[in-house]
Amino acid sequence: MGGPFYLMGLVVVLVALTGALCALTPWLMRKQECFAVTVPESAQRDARLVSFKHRYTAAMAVVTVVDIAVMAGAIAAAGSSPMQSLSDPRVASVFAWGAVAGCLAPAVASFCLMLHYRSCVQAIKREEGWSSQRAEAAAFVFEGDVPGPVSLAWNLLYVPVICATAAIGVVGYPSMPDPVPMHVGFAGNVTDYASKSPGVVAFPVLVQVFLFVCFVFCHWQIMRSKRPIDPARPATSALAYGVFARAQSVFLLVVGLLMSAGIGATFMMSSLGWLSLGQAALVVGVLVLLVLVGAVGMAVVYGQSGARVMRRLEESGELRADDDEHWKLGILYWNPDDASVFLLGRFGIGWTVNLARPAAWAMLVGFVVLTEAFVLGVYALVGL
Amino acid sequence: MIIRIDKMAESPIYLQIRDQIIVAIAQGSLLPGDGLPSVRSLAADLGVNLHTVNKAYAVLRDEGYVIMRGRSGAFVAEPLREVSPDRAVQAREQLAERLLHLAQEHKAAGGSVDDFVAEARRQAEAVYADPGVAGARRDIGVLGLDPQGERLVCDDAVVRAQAPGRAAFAGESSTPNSACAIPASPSGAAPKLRQ
Repeated sequence: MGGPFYLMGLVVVLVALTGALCALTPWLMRKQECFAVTVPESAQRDARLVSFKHRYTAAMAVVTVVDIAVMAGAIAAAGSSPMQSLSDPRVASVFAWGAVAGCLAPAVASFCLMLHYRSCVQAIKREEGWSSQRAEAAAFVFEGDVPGPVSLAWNLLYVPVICATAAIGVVGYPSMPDPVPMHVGFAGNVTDYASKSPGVVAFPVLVQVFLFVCFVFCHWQIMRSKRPIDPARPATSALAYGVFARAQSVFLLVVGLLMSAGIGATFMMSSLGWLSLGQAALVVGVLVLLVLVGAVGMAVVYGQSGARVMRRLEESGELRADDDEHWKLGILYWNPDDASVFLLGRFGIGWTVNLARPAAWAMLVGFVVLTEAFVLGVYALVGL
Repeated sequence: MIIRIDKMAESPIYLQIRDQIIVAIAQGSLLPGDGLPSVRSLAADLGVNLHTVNKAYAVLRDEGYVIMRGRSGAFVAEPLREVSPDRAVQAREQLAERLLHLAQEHKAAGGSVDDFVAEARRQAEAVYADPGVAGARRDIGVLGLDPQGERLVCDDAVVRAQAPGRAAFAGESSTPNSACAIPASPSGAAPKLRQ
């Protein structure tokens, strides 16, 4: 059992954390929502809604535990089988796809369970006649000291990180091995080499630049998001959202810096032969683990839209607005009359887009094109 | 400063936005030179069309409450009467015209002169007696609520109803520290809203 098996162990822990986050989701949402359905705040104490949330959490726990058991079993079986069988590319690819499926299982299960309990809540909503005669909305006209996301200028911190990685590459280039290991199989064997060239050294820097673009885009998205203000308690919810958005933007910045520094530096060191690729992957895996632990912590402390920052306030029994008709399948927002492109998601922590806005589609397509261009550019540069 | 609208109310949304910004200026919550949010960001926050906010800002600009400066956005204008004698005359004419309409309606509905003057005086005094929060330190106020802090006021009586209702958020200061203190003080902002 070598480095790659520790890596697989790490993947299992990541799945456990993802499962935990999914299982907690209904408890972290805003009080006016239950399984992506708008309900009066006082209805959150309704025994049926509470039992739906308990059942959802229990089901998610079971799915996660089964998923982990299957993945751990597969790793144990692979560990006891001869190394040669793992070097077989077919076995390795089955293993890789199995790992991807195992990682996605909690999210897929969470979505399906949400859809199920969403229809249950909708039935209760019809039965109880919870509806709104109004469609209130609130917004800042003068922001004063209300907190908000940190300035985009903080992203300049990426510049020294990228420069330092480039400097390591320039200094280490003369002592770089030829050929350079580029890809490693599950058994720790190097499956791909590239011949020594400046392009190989530039690869980690390019990855960092790509990460930089992605993280800055996410930060900008937070700045441009609709600021959801609860019309029933505008000032308090505006402050709670401000605190939430600030914390999320700081978290995003810290994660981005950690990831780009970690990925860039370890890739650079491994292509210079100072680290094995397995060790580099382990470092990145540990970083991802730290980030997920942080994300779970953030979710529990703040909740979606700062819902948990103001959770002790008393509950209102009326609905002041109901935009359920714009949320397709509970999580996809489609509202042509809403000028906002980015807004908070309905089930889960974080932001989503208004799919009725062409700008949202342009950005989705732009992201895919950017990713493709990056991958093709790297292949061209490294000459694989 | 937070404004509230009701998209299902009879009064058009752009008028609700206009009325509430005028109230904010009257109360000193918005001072001359203060920037208003960009059309895009206000429309996004309220979840309405860009054209709706554009129209509200255009009306405010035409009425002289707001100046628009190309890409840098909208700003609260100097009070009309302080800008120039011409504008002062213009503002006086506008006031006279509106009072004329109100007086005609009042008479048509069978009201007396004394009632009209007394009511006008009472409303004007209420507006001018409201100290507002002019100055460097501002509180978050919530516009568009009736005096009980319960419901939206969507008719043209916003200005009248607002004066006493302003107390809803008195004392809630909006420093970053108070934001962090929300969980510790459940008796803070929201319960006052819903007395």
